[in-house]
Amino acid sequence: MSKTAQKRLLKELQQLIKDSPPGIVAGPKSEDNIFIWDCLIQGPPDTPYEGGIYNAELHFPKDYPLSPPKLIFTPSILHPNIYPNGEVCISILHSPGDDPNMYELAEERWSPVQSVEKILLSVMSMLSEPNIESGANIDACILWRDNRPEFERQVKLTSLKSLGF
Amino acid sequence: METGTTNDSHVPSNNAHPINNEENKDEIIPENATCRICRGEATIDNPLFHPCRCKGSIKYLHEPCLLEWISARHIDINKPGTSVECDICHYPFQFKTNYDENMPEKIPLKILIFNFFQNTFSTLYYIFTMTAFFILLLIGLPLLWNTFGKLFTFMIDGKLPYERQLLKSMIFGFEENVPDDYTLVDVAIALVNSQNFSMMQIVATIILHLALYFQYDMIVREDIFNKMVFHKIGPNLSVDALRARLKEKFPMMDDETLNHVAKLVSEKEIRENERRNPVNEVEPAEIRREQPVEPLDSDDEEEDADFIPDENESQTESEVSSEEDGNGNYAHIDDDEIMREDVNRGVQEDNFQMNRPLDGVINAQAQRQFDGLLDRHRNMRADAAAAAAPAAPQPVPIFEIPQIPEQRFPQRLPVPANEPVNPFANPEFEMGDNVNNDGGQLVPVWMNLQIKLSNIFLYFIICVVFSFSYVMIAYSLPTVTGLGLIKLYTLITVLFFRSSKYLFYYSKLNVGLNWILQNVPGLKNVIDVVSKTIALPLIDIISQYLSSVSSNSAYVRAISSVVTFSTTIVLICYASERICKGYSRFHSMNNKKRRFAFQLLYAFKCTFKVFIIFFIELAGFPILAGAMLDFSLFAPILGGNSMLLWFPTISIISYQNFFAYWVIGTMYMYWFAKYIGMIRKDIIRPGVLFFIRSPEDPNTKILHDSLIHPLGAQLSRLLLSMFIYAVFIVLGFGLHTRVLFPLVLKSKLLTTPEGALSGYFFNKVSLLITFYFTKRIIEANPNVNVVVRSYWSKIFEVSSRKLRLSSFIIGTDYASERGHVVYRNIFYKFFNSRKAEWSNPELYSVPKTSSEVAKLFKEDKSVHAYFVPDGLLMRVPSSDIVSRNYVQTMFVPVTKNDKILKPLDLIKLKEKNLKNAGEFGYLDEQNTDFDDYFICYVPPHFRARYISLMILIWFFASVIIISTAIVAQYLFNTLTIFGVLLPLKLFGFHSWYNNLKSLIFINYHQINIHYVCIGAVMMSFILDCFKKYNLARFFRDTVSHPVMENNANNDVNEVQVNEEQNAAARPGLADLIFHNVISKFVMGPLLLCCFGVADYITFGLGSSIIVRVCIEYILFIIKGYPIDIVYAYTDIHSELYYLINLVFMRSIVVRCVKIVYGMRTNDNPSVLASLRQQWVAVVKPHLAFVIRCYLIFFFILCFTGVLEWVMGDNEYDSILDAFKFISLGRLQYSNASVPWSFAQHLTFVMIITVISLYILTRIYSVANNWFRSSVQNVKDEVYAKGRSLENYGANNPE
Repeated sequence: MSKTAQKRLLKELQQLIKDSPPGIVAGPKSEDNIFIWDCLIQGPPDTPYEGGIYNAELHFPKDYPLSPPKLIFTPSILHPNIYPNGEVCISILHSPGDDPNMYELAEERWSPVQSVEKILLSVMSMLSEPNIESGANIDACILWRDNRPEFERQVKLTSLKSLGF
Repeated sequence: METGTTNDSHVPSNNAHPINNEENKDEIIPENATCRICRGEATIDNPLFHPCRCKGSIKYLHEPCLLEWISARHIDINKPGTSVECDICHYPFQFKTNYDENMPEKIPLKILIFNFFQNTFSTLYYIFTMTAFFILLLIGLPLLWNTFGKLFTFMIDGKLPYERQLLKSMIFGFEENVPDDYTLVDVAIALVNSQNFSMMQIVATIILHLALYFQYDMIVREDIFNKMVFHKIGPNLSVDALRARLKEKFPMMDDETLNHVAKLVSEKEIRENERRNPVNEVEPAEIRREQPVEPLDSDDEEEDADFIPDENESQTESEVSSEEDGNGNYAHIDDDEIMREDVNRGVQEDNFQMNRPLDGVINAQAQRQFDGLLDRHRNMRADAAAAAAPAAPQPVPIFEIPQIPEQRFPQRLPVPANEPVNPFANPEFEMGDNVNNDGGQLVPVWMNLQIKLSNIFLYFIICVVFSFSYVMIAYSLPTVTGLGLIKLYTLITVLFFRSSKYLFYYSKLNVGLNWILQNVPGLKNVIDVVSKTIALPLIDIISQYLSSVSSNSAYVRAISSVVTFSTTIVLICYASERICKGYSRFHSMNNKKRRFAFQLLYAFKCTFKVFIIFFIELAGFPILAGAMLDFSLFAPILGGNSMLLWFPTISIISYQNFFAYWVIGTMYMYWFAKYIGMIRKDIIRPGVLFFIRSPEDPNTKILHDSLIHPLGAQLSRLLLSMFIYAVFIVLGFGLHTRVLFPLVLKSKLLTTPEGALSGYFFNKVSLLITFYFTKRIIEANPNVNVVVRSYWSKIFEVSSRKLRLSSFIIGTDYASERGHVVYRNIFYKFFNSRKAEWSNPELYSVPKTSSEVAKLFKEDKSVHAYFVPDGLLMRVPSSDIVSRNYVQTMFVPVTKNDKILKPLDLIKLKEKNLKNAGEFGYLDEQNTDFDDYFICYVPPHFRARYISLMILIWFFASVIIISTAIVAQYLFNTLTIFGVLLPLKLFGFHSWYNNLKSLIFINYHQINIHYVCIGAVMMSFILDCFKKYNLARFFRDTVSHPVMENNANNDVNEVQVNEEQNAAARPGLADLIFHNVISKFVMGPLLLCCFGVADYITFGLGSSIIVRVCIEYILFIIKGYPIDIVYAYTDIHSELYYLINLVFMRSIVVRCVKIVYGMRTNDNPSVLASLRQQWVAVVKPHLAFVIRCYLIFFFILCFTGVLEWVMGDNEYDSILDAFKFISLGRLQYSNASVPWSFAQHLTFVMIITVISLYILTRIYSVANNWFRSSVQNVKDEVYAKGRSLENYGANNPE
């Protein structure tokens, strides 16, 4: 099981190295553990996240690609779909079994067809278009909906922090 | 990677190489193709497949990878018949079944027959089981219930309704007019009636119990309930509880120390409490002020928590005294906060013990019963129990409960799990028990219970025992008790009246009364009038009702048990108060049993309270609204002169009518709320309707509120809003329908022909359905919403402008509204106001006072008008979701700089709030986030203006509703005249024309709701088309450039070109029809119905007639005389025809169901597309078949006709006569004497041959299919060896 996962992760890494989409860098954190990756995600342009570069960790399960990986922003960033502990909540990262309120469609959820590249691309599109209906961070949701300037100000602050200022 | 081993030489192998498994010799798989799951490439022993419709980089996958993914989703693909869909394209993955290598070419007949019998047996068994189950559940149980009920009633009565005839009494009960020699039909009818009646009772009982149970559960879970209990009996300070708590906090501590500490703490606390609380009933807030509570384990945080509210308090007080900026907004942050803190803390400490006192009872009871059930169940199927059943969980009583005497709490009974209707009480009953153990046959599972033949009777017996005890406990015992109680109460009442009568005479009050009656002028008349107009009719109605109701009616029978139940409820409430008497937050109850009893009783009390309130809100309210609507709208429009449509006489009380009222009322309230929401959201300023609850209000916690506030206050609030609702409906609609149109205008608009719609239930139901669908269709049209909204915003704007309420209602401040214009005299005021206003160029910019104006008029003769400001500024809430207490500080006059003119009496306000809030008021937490105010201008006579605004709004609402109704009706009638009547007249259908004409002209002057509804739908359709047309024109004008015309002289040409352009820009008619909302609701189903009917007429009716003719012919040959086709229906053979018709009817029904189902599952937005789909899938093949049949018959007739003409004995004038002789009227009595010719015999024989051939082929194909499928089944079951992947398109070329 673990061998399939390793193989597939190596393949995906090769693919990412060969042609990685703009604004995304990803790779294993260390040589001896391919199940934890480090990613750098550039904030998409024309959003409050523009100019920020965010660090995130991908935790792959041992039965990958049957189960989805976890994506955790370190440090967490302010976003309606990111839990305060940094975990990202998007449908592509939910396995088909665990959707209690049947909110998401089957084809939107995790299946082995998806890949690291697709996850990171969806995260980028999530950064530019938050989904308020299934929010993970209620405060951020309310702020985003009711007080956009304040939300943008706070995001800018965190992005400055992410750059080390 | 060139590992491809191929024999195909013509495949270019430079950039692609074929990887082959046995089936796919000619599949070309690109070199860089990878498995979509593991991203690996194809190898010889692990080739790539493409088993679904996906294309591109995810087209291929490995078989093991897919199998792994499927098994990760817990699907067993090796079972025959399972299919798995692709996540992406939703096409089922293509699998083929592999068979055993030594599978014989032909399956042995023995296995086939065995299999056939096995299948048949299992199917029959299944059907039998299910039938038995449902018969027992739906018929047996209600009848038994009914029998028990009758038995108990007879026992209570002490006699049978039919003397010495137990069986007859049992069957017919209290039914009257039963003949002595009753037939079986009578018995069946009586049984059906009792089954219906008891089924209703059972369902109602279950609903009631479930409602009560969930209510109870919600209340016990509710946070505030714990706080209320805490308020009543304080924290649990007994040594045991303290020790448990300490143990939880300090798990390291040994038992002795724990004991010791607990004892010390408990003693200290109890002493503290006694010291703090010398008298039991002390206003808690005062204590708080004198003596801050020392919490059990006080630390810094809690001191902080104590400190902050104190600060607030001092702040409030300073504000009250100084009134510096007039900001009294914090008035409601007072002692409540502190008390709340305190209670919260206490509840947190006490929580672990208080959660859900009944949990233990329920769980333990359910568990015990479930275990008993399970044990018996196990014994009965001992064969498989060891293998299948998981270890039964042992009953673990949470804590010991004193057994509740059951007859006092009949409400609690259905919760135990011995009835299969309640799956909630037995959560331990897991699906794991439902393994199949009958050799692969699935046991049907219904509500977690296995339905097997052996189990059914067990369940049934349990149900019988349960219903027997239930009927006894919930019906017979309370009735007996109730009869005694009623006697007691009557005795008390009689005694009271007698004593008061004696007192009355003894104290000589009657003399005084007489004196008053004789000496106050007019009083006698008033009393006379009152007694004549109100009291006598009331007594009349009651006596009429009483006389019409027999003493055996269920309602009358229920009285005594209802008395018992209400007495029980009162006793429970009293007992709960009694138990907690003398205890409070500071004097806590330490007896464990007593605490438990109190919590239980208190929870019951709260449940009843909340249930009453919810019942009134959810059932009483809508029913009242429905009755009011009936009185003021439906009855006058539809029922002629009767008072109510649904209850024409007072003696008919049936639940259907209540249900109808409930539906009407709920619909009305929903739409009213929607309308209010629209106005609140789009038209008026937020905060005007602060008194109507907004759905976004954070302060609406329904359960919380109904728990906290006293019952009396809530009931009076409910009654008030009911009253307002009733006034709105009765005045709003009734004024038109009952007064204005019939009495004032003498209009015939609202008079339907007598009793046109009043009598039939069906008519009323159809009316409701029409109404509902009209509303839905119209509401689905966005353009209608836009028009309605703009109408209302215009109305609000204009009326509030005229009434100078713009600032308050709309929120826009107009300078000209801030006062009134004073004119020189009446002439200028009424006839020349415009000129007068123009005479003062600085009318609004330089306002004057009225005394100045009088002076100025004398000084300056040229100016005829001055502006005099009046009114004042006021604080009004600026949001709909302000808290209740905050509203008290609103509506105070302020200066321009927002200074309060008259200081608020905050202390009085606070007292008032406290008084209104009741005992638990301080527990009420109000969200104050949205408390904000807005300073608006308020003109003088504000109330009068406000009321006039309401009247204006009512007026405009009436105008739009009445005019829409009339226009819709006339539109429908006119369109019918021109669209239907005119063609009918022109094409000469005179009888239809006359019928329709009389129908329409009767109704031309009278409102007909059905016509109005259809007309309204038409209007919305026209509006939609108009808007779309406008939009299209707008695009044409702005987007496309006008074409330059060469020939300027030719105007006609230009116009033509323009029109062509118009036509091009106009949305196509088909588009309008088929992409419309209305078509979705009306056209689609209508067209499909037409399909179905046409199909039936052509195929079903036609072929059944032909088949019948054939039978006639055969009978004729056998019997030698003709039978009339019409007469045949009454003949013995008619059953045969019915059977044939039935067969065809069945196919029609199946087809219609298919069509409807297809329509429902088809979510294609365009009706046209879905219609096309239906056409292609269902209707077309059938129609093709029918046409083919008729063609064949036609050819046969042609052939034999020509034969008859050429060879027949008769002489024919033309060939047509020969055809007529062949085809018509052959099998009738009138033609019996005409000799049969050879051609005629030939015709019938050929037709019969064709038909029997067709039937034979059908039978053959059905049998063949069945045989094939059974062979396939046997193959799958006996010889299958797993399944393997197959490429998409390999076996099923699409």
